[in-house]
Amino acid sequence: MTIDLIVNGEDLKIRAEPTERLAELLRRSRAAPSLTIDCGGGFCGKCLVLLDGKPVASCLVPAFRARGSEVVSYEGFMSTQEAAEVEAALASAGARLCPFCKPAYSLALGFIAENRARMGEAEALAVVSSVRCTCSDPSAVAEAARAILGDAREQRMGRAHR
Amino acid sequence: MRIDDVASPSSLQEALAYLKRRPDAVPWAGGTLIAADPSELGRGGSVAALDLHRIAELRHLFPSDRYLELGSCVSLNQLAALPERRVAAPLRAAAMAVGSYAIRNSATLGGNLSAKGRPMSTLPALSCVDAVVELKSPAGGRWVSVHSLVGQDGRVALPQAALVTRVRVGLQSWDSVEFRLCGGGPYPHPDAATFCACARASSGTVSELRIAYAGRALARSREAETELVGRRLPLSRRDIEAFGAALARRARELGQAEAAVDECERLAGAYLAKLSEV
Repeated sequence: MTIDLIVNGEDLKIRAEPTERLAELLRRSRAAPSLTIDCGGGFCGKCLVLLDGKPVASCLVPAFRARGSEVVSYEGFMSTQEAAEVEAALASAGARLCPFCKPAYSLALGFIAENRARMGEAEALAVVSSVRCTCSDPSAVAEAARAILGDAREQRMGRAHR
Repeated sequence: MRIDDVASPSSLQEALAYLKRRPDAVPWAGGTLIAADPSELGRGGSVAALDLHRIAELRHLFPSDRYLELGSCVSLNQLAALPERRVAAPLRAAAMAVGSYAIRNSATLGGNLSAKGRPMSTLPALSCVDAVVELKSPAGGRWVSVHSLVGQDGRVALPQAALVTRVRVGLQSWDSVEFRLCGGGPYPHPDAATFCACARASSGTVSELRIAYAGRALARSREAETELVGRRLPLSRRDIEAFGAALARRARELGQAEAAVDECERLAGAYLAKLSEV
């Protein structure tokens, strides 16, 4: 079957097997070279991508589910406004991430940055805990998530005072 | 198991027309469980996949003052994000008992409820709040009690060529609710299990009681629950032990591991002992 989808803003038409998963499709088509398939069961979250704006474990998503959908991987995320903010938040939290989990964590933090106006701390921490890697200290990533949320709160409070 | 065709209808009518042609089609909502455990597809031969995610009406939430109606493709994150007064308390906890945030974005209520291999987190919660489920097939639609989906073996067995389209839960308040994720960790961990209990008390006596444990199968003892209705609170040690033994017996009959049988007896006992505080 042929899957029509948009990956990082680019229209793609890719042939896929019915049992193929989105993570495999993205790797095979070289649309998302940074994507890591590790556990294959959704536990590690290293295959995280944004599917129609929401973070999903792409190793659990059937490729046919992505028909007509928009996928953003780390490569696409790096060209967004939020990317620099996420990098800065990770650096100031002292998070040193390995190349296997950094794309997934960055996407998770980018999702928080994009949705912070309606997101509480518990939900933000749940988003980043979708990714697990032995290289990194989860508390540093959680601190980066809080910093991103905190910036939004300060901006909101600033607007309210004005 | 091989998938020989994938249909992605954009309306329920189209989906039902496809089911008429291919009654063997496997409904595919989020697909997270099938991806994690391909045995959910069944064994041998080839099947068709019926991708439901484009059907907008299956993703709707219909709140009213008395009940909440949920489309079967409502994601578990949507369910978990509902305001407390808008969702039956155990159901929100049941949604949170699955995987990670990223998995819950794909996983759906209908998929969780329809798991064939073993009950997942929403079944005991829906069982305790007496949910009803709309089943649609090419022959028509009907509302049935969630209990009628559970076979003698304590597992969900949907009729062939039928789709779970909506789930309706009452929003009556309970005086006491407990939901616990037990076993090895969040679903889809193979040893994950769920304990769920709800109770109401009136004039110092138990007026309603529901206790369910779902490991490899859904264990509930309605006779033992009925026995305790009308008893004064706090319950006597003898009543609590008798209830625990009845639930453990049911769990054992369903082939639960001894550790799970012990766990459900212990959790039921602890819950009933706490009921005196209601």
